[in-house]
Amino acid sequence: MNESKNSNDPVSNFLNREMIEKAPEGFTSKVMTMIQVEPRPAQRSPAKRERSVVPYISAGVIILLTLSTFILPGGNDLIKFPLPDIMRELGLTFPSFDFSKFNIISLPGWVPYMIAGILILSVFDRALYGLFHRREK
Amino acid sequence: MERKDDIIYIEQVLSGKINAFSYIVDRHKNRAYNLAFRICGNHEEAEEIAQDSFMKVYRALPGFKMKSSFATWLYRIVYNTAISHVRGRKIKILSLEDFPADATDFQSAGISEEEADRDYRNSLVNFALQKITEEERGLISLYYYDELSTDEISEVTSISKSNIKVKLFRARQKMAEIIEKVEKKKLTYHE
Repeated sequence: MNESKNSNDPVSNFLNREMIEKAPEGFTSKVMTMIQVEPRPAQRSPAKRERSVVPYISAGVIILLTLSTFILPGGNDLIKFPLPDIMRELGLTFPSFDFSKFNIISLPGWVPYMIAGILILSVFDRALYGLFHRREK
Repeated sequence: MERKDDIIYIEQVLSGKINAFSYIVDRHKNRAYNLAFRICGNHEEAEEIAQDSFMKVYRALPGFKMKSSFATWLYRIVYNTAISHVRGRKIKILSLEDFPADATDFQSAGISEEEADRDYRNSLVNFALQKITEEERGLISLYYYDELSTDEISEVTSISKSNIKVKLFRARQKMAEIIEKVEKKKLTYHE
């Protein structure tokens, strides 16, 4: 609301809220009749919410992939992962998995770094998205 | 509270309950109509502008940001619709002679002196409003009838706050001059 009007203001003596022009009778029904023939306004679709979940899913997949590179031993001796040894020491065995077979799989040494980089970039992308699309939410 | 109610009805409309829009129209029709009328100065055109504005609101409802005030958004639509409507029509220049001499000209059977005086003042304001620009009419209406602050008017009209103050001052001055002239003419008429 605006500041109180000056009593010396000649215009305010002629203009006031009581003199507001009222809409004619049947105005609402006329508008509603016009609206009935209009196509319905697009409803807020849940698709938007679903779309926003996609980056989280992809980030989750990237995390899993990154972890797998640490869990699964590679051919490179620089990174030696103890999980299969621990499992063997504890006497736990997976009947359907033979961890020694994973030794055959060899990933280049830079793969974990690349995946970690992708993960960082995806988190960064998510943060930027949140920053620039804040007004739309 | 008023703003909360608006949001409730808007959400209902967006969820498919079209009839909820009638509550929105009912709540805001007088404000919308008054603003349209003050800018265009004609009842038929004001009704058309107000209806058109509500249709625009209905179509644009999915894009409405719930964080801002619905009333301000509606005012903006009515203001812009009315201004472009008036700019698109032929200019009719009014002279002081177009205004009736005094309140007795507004008197008719069944109307008290007080009512006649109110009608006279209302007509005088409308006459003075028609002598200023459509933009000034909009500002005057938003400031005096709707009692919006200069901040709110700035949001509706997209005119800077300082510019609004200047324009309001000029419009007020022009209107005061016109009212004074008409009042003088009234005195001369009675002498």
